[in-house]
Amino acid sequence: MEKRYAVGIDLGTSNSALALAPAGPEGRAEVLPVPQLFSFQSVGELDMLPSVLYLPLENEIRSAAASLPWDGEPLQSGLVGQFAREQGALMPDRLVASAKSWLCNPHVNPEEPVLPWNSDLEAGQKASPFQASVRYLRHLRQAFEHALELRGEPAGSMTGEIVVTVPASFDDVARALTHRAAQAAGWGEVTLLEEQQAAFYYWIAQSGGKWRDQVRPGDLVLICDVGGGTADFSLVAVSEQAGVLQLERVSVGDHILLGGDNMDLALAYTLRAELEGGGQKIDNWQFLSLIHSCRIGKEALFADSALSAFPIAVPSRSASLFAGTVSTSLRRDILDSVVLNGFLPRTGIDEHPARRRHLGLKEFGLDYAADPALSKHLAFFLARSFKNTQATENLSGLVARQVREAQGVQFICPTAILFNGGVFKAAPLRERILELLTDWNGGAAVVELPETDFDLAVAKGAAVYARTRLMGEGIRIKAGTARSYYIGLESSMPAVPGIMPPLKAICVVPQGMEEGSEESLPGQDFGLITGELVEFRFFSSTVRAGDRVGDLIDADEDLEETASLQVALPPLEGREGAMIPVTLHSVVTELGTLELWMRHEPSGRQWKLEFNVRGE
Amino acid sequence: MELLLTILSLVLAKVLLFLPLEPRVFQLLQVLLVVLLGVLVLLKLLQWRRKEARPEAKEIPAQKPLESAKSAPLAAAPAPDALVEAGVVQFLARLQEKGRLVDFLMDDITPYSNEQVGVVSRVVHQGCREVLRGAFDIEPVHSGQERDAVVLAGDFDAATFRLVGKVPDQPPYKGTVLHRGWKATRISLPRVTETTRDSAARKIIAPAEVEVG
Repeated sequence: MEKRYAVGIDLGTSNSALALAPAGPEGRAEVLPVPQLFSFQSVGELDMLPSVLYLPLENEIRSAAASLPWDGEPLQSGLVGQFAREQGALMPDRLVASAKSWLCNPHVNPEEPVLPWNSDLEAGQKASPFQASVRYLRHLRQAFEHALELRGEPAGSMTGEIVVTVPASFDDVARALTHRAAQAAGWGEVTLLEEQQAAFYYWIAQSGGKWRDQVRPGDLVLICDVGGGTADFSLVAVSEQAGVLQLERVSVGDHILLGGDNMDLALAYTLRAELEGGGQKIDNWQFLSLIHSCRIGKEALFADSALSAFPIAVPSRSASLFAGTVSTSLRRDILDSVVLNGFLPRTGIDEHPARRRHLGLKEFGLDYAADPALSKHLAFFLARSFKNTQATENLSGLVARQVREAQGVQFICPTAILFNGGVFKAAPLRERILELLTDWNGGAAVVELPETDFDLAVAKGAAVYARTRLMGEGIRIKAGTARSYYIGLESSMPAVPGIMPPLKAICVVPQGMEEGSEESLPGQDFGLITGELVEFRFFSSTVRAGDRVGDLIDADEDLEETASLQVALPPLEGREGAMIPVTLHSVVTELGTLELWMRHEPSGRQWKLEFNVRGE
Repeated sequence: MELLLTILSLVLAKVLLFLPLEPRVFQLLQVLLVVLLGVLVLLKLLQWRRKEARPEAKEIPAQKPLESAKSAPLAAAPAPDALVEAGVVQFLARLQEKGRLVDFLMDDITPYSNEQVGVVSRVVHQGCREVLRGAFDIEPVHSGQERDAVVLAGDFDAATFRLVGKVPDQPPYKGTVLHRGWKATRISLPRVTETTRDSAARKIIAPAEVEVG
């Protein structure tokens, strides 16, 4: 069937959004409002769908009368969106939040019903990070079909090019889960795109062809993306080939669990401490209201530099507003010391985030960033990007003009920066980052590329990219896999008590392997016993761009163990229990997912290696 | 409902006109009055729309009830007005939830100082403003400034402009803008759908809250 729509989906950690681009070459990508519950009785529409799932009480379900404009799931399986967030804030035990961060948590099986985390609910009521993602994506699909219906499109005509964004830092297990969640939600085959690239595509689209005047060959663009709960960095290089500008994503950072919500929370803690210092206690409900007011105050103070303070009144929960309303104010000096100097301190390029101490027995939860200083995370990223790009001739050539050295640290300094994420609506935060980069760059200015929609650029950019795929025209960022992948091989040596045999890892997917390509592991046969389950340890790295397929390396600290892989060969006829030689092939599909296959060359038969879900 | 709101608006207007108030309190109360009047207008608007839509109402297929209600026999369809009223209650519920509007108006504010009223009206202002901005895009009717001199033609729209003072029988109507007026250029209200459920839930503006544990 002919594809008629280009749809972009921003499946965010705290908010999701849906955008549609018309199929022709012209026309802007537009955000489709998402119907969602506003209370148990009413339904409204918002541009964003908060990515939260609230699991209601039986009684709440009985008295509820709100119904979405489509036949949705029964309320028993939870409700999604704005009201879910408001109601859940008062009952955190029943609120599933940050499911996306749990998808890439190495300690938890993403298909186990573990959310809400640390909740006393029975396992049967809980949801898995995967199920929660399916719920958000299904809600968006129903909103999309509803929007088409309102435009008079026939039902069931939903054939489109669908692009779902994921953080550049997602490893392949999290990517595969997102892809599968979109399928389970009824979107069919979707293409995955890195969020930071989506923001870049939107910048290109909204510049109306003028972007070519704003960057030059040899430029390096830093995409600095700070959302509600996460921060991500990517570097894109601009080069020229036969007179045409080319874009290549050369480096991506770690997934940092640190964002705008942390800033609001930090402000609220500071004001609460002040109030308590003055003998005024506030309860949990008032604290939630204080966080909300801090967010509004932060935005107001950042938007108007003439304002010296933002008065805040925190009501009590009682019906009498006059009895318990506490009044305070967010002063500019608090804002500057907590947000600007706390999250974006003026630090040197050699100051990197404090590493988390690894304790023997640690209750694991989400791996929140231990160091709130985003400037240090950025410095670390730029230094690491240097290390990564030096491994190949292509990458080191692209960044050659921007390599700097200061305070004994070699790093890459971008020439331009594109901000993304709601936090950067505040000009002082953008200015501080520009100031940091200029300082690290020895005083030479770094250009800010104009972004027009910090909240919705990713969804719109994804729709633009979907249209590029649909039409087969338009510029594409050359990217490929952000990581290289390895299979662990135990090296054979005599067993010595107390000493683990050193682990070797063989590269099966090089960094930058492009969509729609296949690699095979040369000269390496695996002997597999038919009829038995075989497991491999699986590793990845974002800093080893130089490794080629088949390279054997020590599994040192550059490698992260992401999952294990397993494959069970069915018994071949008449050769039960026999060991057969197979070779390994890796494929990056057109949709951006990674597949590994074991192939028995003589018979041409092959078996796919499946990711073994993580967790103990 | 309508009556209650009208009375509240009148009381508020009276306070605005006759009691000496601090300028900022005065401004906040003005906003409240506008909100209240907005609710009233809405109520009327919805009633009017409901009447328009009435002939088609029968064609709307019965809303699919939720799982547990499926087997229950269908109760009588609610009166059309009930749905409109439920919509307004939901909007009021939103103003209460975010801006504590009902708490504020149901309280007797006489014993409190202007300072106290000022503090509390920040709560009301911040929250109601959020709700208002979510539900409407609001622009002035007259795009210029107040105190502008204007001339209205004979066929001016009496819904858009209200003439006060000494108004002649014949145009042109020359005058000065006293108030710029407001109009909603986008309306996105919380919607309620027909239900077979007990309608008592639809009269709840804010549930009583009980902390457990």
